[in-house]
Amino acid sequence: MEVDMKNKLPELRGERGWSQATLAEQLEVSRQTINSIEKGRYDPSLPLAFKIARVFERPIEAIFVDEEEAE
Amino acid sequence: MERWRFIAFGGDTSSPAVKRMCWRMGLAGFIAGFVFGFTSPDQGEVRGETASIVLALTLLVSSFVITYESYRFYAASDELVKHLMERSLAITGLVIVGLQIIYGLGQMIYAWPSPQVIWMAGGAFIIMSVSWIITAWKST
Repeated sequence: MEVDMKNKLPELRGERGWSQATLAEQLEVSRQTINSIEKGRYDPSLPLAFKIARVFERPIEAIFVDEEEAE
Repeated sequence: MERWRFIAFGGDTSSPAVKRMCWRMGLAGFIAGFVFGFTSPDQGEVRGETASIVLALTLLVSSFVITYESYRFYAASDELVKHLMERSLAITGLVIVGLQIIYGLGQMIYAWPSPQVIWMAGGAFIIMSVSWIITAWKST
């Protein structure tokens, strides 16, 4: 069973005025990783998802949304 | 442009691990190719026992450098690059096994000639590069 996932990374990043490079630096990943996650081409690992949640001070489910559930 | 740079260098080009891997692997490949050209058993300019020893040592050292740098590069990469490397290696392995089965059958049924090792190595490199380009393009 495949889960289609959407994420609110661009919105959350935009709210804080951060560039992809700034976020990438905080998460210790490449800018390309952030770009791929935002475009939905790559799903982050659970540890990275937790790191993202920590950086944005939100629970994981507030950042990554199951599209089916959202409908 | 940045996407192509990512594909060409296998990661974030500002990372020291990527820069180091690129120049060391390039140098090792160049030296190995140069020595192979001079000492190749069929066409090399240097022949005999010395040629065999030089060739064996060069291939040993360059294989070590390439393997070690690949390991360092993998260890220093972030999770996206690791994921892409694993995926492209898996695809390469499957394609090579498929080709080996086809070629093995061809040899048994139609007596196809055995290819030289250098062609097999070159073929594997091309398959690996193509599978890297496809997986990296799709995921970035």
